[in-house]
Amino acid sequence: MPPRIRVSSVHPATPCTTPQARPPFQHRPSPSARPFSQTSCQSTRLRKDLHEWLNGPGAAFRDPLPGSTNYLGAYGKDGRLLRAKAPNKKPKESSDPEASDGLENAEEKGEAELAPPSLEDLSPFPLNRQFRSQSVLSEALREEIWRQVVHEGKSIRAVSSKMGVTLERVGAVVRLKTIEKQWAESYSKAVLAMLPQTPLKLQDQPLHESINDLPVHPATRKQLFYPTSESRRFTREDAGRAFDPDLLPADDLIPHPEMIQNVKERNLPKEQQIALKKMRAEAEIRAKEDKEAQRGKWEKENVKVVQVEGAKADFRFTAIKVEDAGKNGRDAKGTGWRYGVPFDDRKRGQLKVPNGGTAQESGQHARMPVQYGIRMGQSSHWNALEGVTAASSGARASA
Amino acid sequence: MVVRIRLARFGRKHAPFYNIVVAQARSARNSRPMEVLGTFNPLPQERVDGEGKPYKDVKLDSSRAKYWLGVGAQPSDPVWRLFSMVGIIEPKYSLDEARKNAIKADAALRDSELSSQEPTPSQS
Repeated sequence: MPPRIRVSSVHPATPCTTPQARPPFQHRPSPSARPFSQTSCQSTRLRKDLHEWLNGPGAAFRDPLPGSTNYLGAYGKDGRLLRAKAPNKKPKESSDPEASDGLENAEEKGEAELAPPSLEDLSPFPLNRQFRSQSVLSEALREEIWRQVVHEGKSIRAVSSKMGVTLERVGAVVRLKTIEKQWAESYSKAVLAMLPQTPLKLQDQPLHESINDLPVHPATRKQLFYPTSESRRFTREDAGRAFDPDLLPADDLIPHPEMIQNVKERNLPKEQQIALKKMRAEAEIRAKEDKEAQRGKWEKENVKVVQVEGAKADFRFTAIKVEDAGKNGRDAKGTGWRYGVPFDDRKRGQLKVPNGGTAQESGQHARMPVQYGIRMGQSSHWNALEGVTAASSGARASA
Repeated sequence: MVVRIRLARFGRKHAPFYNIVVAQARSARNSRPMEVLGTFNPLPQERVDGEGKPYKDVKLDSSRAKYWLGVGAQPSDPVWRLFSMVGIIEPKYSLDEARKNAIKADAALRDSELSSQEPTPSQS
């Protein structure tokens, strides 16, 4: 059955018919999508304003600036880039040839006179100026953190304070990088290009976040009136003890107590600083030697390497104690595959993120599921120790 | 029933990993054993320093192994081989001994051939 249309109701020359090719966002009367509509063509003021904005100031958002966020806050009402108005004399943030990746290079070439985005430009919502988009770690910075922890064998604490990234985030970067190495680098291309990033600088690495925040102890969540005599000296440590006998003073609670120590030392006279530095270096060497000696002693007592004639591999026998497995044989300190405990490594939804041991270990046994379920007895500590000392001896040799 | 010291295979496809266990001989391979004496990882592990041959990792409580041998537990062949490497028991098959035996057998064969070629004095 043909559609029942009254011929008189269809205007022969209305602009409502859809033209085949038209420029994007061109203002057109709304009913054009419904060519058979009987209501007259009309457009609201809001709709007209929308199209005016899309073709006027909003056109800047169609093609985002390379290496920059595409936030409303960075542009004025007339659609001009705010920071382009006041050009900054300082060179661009990607002036380090090593620190800048390909993306930043492109930006450098195209818009060399453009200043780096300030905090003002990082607010995606113009009506909420207080909200700032937090930057993420750049690809180069994450790669450097991973390299320093895994290849140079630096402690997580040291890398954290050097790069200005919290301990937890450094750990997460190392774990996720291990997995990301197995994947294509699609993430950095697709997502990172749209986000503000913390770049990697060779000198004066900018802080990514506040790394020395105090964790809130549950005991301190309530108010406390603690009567004490005026003659008594009531320090921070005493205050902590009043809240909870286990509560440490703030100087010991923070993630990087060594940073406080560093600032205190910076105020000392020069000679004392040098003496302290020397003393600390000596202590470090002594501790390393002690550790190595201890390991050597333990190895002498507990490890025996047997070379078999004609075999491709040696046999390394490590002494363990059967009692370590405990009464029911399931203790974490024991050795071997556990009985009567499910081992869900192949279960659906089990993400194989190594969450224990050192980075060396997780790299070394990447092919083995051992680290996820089997107890390695004492040797897991031993392996970790071995990895660290090997890395440090390599560093010493190169120095 | 005989008590055996044997290997129980765990691990995954192409990634074997063994517990060295003391178990009743007729119990299932991976059932709960009387005791786990240690582990044996037959996949060669690269050394951390990268020098020398790779190694196969064995973890063993030798005093418990000696105790179980003392009360009559019988090691399987692979376990026998591992135990003999650290001197817990005499090797079942020694390469040196096999070589000596081969030399001895060769010599005996040669002697018999020579004696058969030489005419015996009674014949002449």
